Amino acid sequence: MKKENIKSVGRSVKRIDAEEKARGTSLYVDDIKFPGMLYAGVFRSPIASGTIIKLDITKAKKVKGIVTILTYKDIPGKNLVPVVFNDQPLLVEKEIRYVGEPICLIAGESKEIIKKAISLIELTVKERKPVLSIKESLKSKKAVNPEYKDNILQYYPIERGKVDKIFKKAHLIIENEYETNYQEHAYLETQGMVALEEMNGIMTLYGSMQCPFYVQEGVATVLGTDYSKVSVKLMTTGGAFGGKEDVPSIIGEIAALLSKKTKRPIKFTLSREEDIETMSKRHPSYTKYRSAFDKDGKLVGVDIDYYLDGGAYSTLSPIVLWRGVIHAIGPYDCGNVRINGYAMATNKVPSGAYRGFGTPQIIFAAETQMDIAAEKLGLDPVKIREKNCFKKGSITSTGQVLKESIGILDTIKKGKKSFNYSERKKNTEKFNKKHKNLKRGVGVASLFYGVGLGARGGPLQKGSALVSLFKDGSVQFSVGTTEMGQGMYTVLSQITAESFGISFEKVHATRISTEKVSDSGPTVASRATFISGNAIKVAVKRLKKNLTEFMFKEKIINSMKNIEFKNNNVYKNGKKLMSFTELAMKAWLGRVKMIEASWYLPPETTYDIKDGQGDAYVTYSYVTNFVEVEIDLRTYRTQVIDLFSSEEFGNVINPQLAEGQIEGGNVQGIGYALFENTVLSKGKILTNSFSTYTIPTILDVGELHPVIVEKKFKEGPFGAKGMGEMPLMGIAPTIGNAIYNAIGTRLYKVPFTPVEVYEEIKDR
Amino acid sequence: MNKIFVNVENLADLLSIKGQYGKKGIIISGGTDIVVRMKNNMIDPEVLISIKKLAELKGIVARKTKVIIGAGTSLDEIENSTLIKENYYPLYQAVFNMASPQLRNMGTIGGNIGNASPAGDTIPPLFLMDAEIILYSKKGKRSISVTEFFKGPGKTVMRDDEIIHSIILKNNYLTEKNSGYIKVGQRNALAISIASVAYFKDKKYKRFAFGSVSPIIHLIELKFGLSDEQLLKEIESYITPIDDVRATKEYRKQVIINLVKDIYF
Repeated sequence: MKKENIKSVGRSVKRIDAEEKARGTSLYVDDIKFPGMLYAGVFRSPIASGTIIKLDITKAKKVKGIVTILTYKDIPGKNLVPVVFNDQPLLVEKEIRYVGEPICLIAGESKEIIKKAISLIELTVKERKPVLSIKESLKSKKAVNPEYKDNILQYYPIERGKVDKIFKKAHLIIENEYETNYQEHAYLETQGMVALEEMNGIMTLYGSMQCPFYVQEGVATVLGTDYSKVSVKLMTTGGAFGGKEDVPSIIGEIAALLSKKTKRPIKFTLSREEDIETMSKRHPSYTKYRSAFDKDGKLVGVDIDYYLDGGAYSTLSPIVLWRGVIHAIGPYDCGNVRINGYAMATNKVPSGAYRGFGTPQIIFAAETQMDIAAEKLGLDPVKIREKNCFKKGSITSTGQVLKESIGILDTIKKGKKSFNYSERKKNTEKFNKKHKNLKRGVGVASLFYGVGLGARGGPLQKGSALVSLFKDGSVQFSVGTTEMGQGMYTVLSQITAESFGISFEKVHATRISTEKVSDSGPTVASRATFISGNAIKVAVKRLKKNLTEFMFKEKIINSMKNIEFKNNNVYKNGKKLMSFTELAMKAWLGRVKMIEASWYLPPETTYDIKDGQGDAYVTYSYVTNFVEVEIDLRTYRTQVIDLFSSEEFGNVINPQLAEGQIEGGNVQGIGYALFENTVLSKGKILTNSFSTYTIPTILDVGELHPVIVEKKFKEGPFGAKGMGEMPLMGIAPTIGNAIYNAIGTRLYKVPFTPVEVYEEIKDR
Repeated sequence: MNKIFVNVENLADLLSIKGQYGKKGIIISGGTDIVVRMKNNMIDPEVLISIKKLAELKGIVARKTKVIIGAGTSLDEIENSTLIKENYYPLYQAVFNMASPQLRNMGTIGGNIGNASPAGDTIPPLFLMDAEIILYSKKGKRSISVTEFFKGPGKTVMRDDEIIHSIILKNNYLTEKNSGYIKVGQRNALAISIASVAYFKDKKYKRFAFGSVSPIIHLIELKFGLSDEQLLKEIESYITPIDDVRATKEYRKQVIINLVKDIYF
C-alpha cells in the first residue's frame, strides 16, 4: 500500500479560484442582472467648499427613463456614513466640503439616461475659499468641518525617555522634511454593489468589499431599519487594497436607498473616472523628522511631527494615523522617542485605508534618515540597520518588549546574501565609470509591521467561522473576512484541511455573507490568515471533539486519549481506526453535531492614549528590501533592475501565494515610488484615468525576487503571522536610497517622477 | 437624435458618403481614438463612417525607392513589416513602442496622422522620410508633404470632403545604424509621449523631428561641427512645450536638448 502523508499547509496548492479567473467565468458585481433592474447615478458637487443656495431637480426628473431622484430629505433613516467618528453625511444637506461630494441620487433605466438627467440638475452655490493642503489646513483659522473646533481630525502622541536631553548631547543629528502624494488603489474592478429586497423584505446587497459588516451597518443606518433586515453578500472582488474597507458602505447605502424607494433592484457601479475622483486613497503626508545618533551609529533619539491629509471627513484617518505613529521609527530599539501625529482636515475627497495604512509615508522618511545617517557616520547602510534593528528583548517605541518571532536581522542577512550586495555594489561602480548617461545604484530599507488591528482596533478584534462536516466526509466553511484576490479562500482551505488531517480537495469555501457568521471586523491589517485561520481551528477542534466523543459513546474507542486525525484517517495510539469518510457517515447516522460556529479573540493588546505606551500589536512581521536601479540622465527616468524583498511573517501557509503577494505589493510600491502622481486643480483630481495616472506595467518593475524567511509564531495558525501589506510599505525609501547611491541626489518627495528628479538635479 | 453608422466597402462609396456628410461624417477604423473620445463626451458624431472593411486602404507596397502604406493599415502590420524595419527604422521603432498589442491591432497609421496630435508617435518619423500624405475626395486626389499637412493640435489641411488614402515614404535608407525614434513616456509601455525625437545621421548633416514639444512638428536639419551653444540656438525655437498633468514644459525642453546632444555629439 502506498504510504500517504496528506499535508496542506506549507504547500503551494493551486488557488481554488485560479481556473475561473483565468477563464474569465468569475462573477463580479457588474455581471449580475435582475429582472426590472435599474441603474444608479450620483449628482456631485463641482466645487470644493461652499453652501448650497438652490437645488432644482425638476427638469432632470422629467427625463424619460428616470424613475426617481433623491436628496438628503428622502433618507428614511440617518443621513450618515458610519465609520469611526460618524461625521460624514451620505448626501450634502447644505455645506459642501469637497469636489465630488454626493448631492442627489438618481435611479434610471440606463446609465446614459442618468448622465442626461445629471446634466439637467441645476445647482446654485455660494463658494468659499477651500483648504487644499496640510499646510493650508494648519494655517486656516476656520474649520473645514463646522462640527469641529479646528482642522485636527485626530492627534496621537508618543513620549518615551528623555528626548530633549539626548538631542543636546547627540554625536549626530539629522533633520529633514518629507512629503508624499496620494496613491490610488487602482483595483482592476471599480466599486460596485447591487441592492434588492429579497424574500421577507430583507434588503440584500451583492457587492465588492472588504467588510460586509460595515456595509450592513451603513445600509441599516440610512434605511432606519434593523441590522437583521439587511443582508450583505460578497461577489468575486477584483482587488481592494484598503480601497474597499469603508467606502463600499457609501456604494451600498446609495444602492439600497434607491432600491427601497423604487422597489426595484438597483445596480450601482462606478466608472474609473468617478472612482478615482470620489473614492478614498492613500493620505498625502508631510513629515518633520529629527534623528539623533551616538558615535557608534546607534539610534538614540527620534523627534517627529507627522501630518496626514485626511480630506473633508475623518473616515478612517484616526486609525490610519495611529498605525503610522506606531511604526514611525522603524524596526529599531530607541529609548528616547517623541512623536506627534496629526490627521488634518482639508476640502478634498476623504483619504482612507490603503495597503500599509499610514506607514509607507513615514517609513519613507525614517529609512531615508537611516541612509543619511549611515553615510555621515561612515557606516554601510546595511551595517547601520543590522546594528540598530530589533533583537529578542528589544523594546519598541511604545515600550513593548519583543519576545518571539523577531525576524528582522534574518531578513537583512538573507536579503543581503540573495542580492549579492557587496559584489553588486562594486559592479554598479564599474558600470557608472563606463557610462556617461546611465547611472546605477543600490538601495536598502527595513521595516516592521504590527499584524492585526492592534489596540486601537477595539471591538473589531475578533473573528468567527462556521465549519460544516457532511456525511461524505467533505467539509465546508465560511468566515467573516473576505476574499478580494489575495488568496484567502485557498489559504483558509489549507488550514481547514490540515486541522482535520484530510485532503485539501475535500474542503470547500463558501461565499462570505453576513448571514453565515457574526461581525468579524474588516478584512484589513493583514489579519485574515491570523484571525479567520484561528477561528477555523477552534471550530475544527470542536468538531473533532464531537466525533471523538461519539466514537467513545459507540465503544469504538475505550478512551478519548491519543486520537489523531491525519492522512484522511482516524488513529488511536497510532493505529488506524477507520477512514475519515467512514467516521463522517457513522457520525451522521448517529446524529452527531456536524456544524460548529466558532469565535476567536486575539491576545490582549494595550495602549495609553496620553503617552502612546503599551503593547500595541500582538506581533510584528519584518521586511528588508534591496534594490538596484538605473537612472537615465538624459530623460531623468529611473528603471528598477532587480528588487529583492526579504520578508519574515511567521511560518508560510502557501509559498506561491506568499510570493504572489510579495511581488504584487512590490509592484504597487514601485508605482508609489516612481510613477503614480495625482494632480489636482482647485481640489478637483485631474489625473482621473490610467492614461494620466500611470501605474507600472510589467516592463517597468524589473526582476522581482521574493525572499522568504520563516520564524514560527506560536499563537498564529500553524505558526503564521500576516503579510499582505508589507511588500508595498518600504519600496519608496529603498528606491530613493538607490537613486542617491547612483547619482548623489537625495529625494525628499514621493513620487520620484522624472520631472521631480530633473528639478532636484538641474541646478547641481 | 438618430445616429448613423455606415460600413463602406469600396473607395467610391467612401468618397461619396464623405462628400455627402462632410464635417458631420467622422471616419472610424480601429476606433482607438474616436471611441475613447465618444466615451468621454469629447465628441458626439452624428455619422460614423467605418472603413474597417475597406481592403483598398490596407497594406504596405514597395515601389522602387518608395513605399506606400494604406491609411487603413494597422500599426501591428507596420510593426511586423521587414520592409519598414529595414528601410524606415524610426517608423518601426515608433510603432513598436506605441500603446499595447491590443491597441496596435486596432489602431491605424491613417488614424494616428488624421488625429493630428503633437504626441502622435508615427508623425515625427515621417518627417525624416519626406513623406507625402495622399488625400482623396470625389473631386480627385492630391498629395501633401508631411511638412505642410499639420496646422496645429487636431488640425490639418484636409477639407471636409477628403479622406486620407495613403502615405508615401521616401528616403529608404533609414536603418537601425543611422536613425531612430526615442520616445519618453511616463512608463515603458502604454504611455503617451511626453517628448520624443526622431533622428537620422548622415555624413553631411543630421535630421531631427521632435514630438510632443510644439503645436506643429518641424523637420530640423543640422550641419556638422556646431558648438554646444550653436546647437542649442538652432533647436530652441522648435521646442515650445506646454505644462500638463504628465510633465512640465521645462522638463520636456531639457529632455529634448539632452537627447539631441547625445545624438549629435
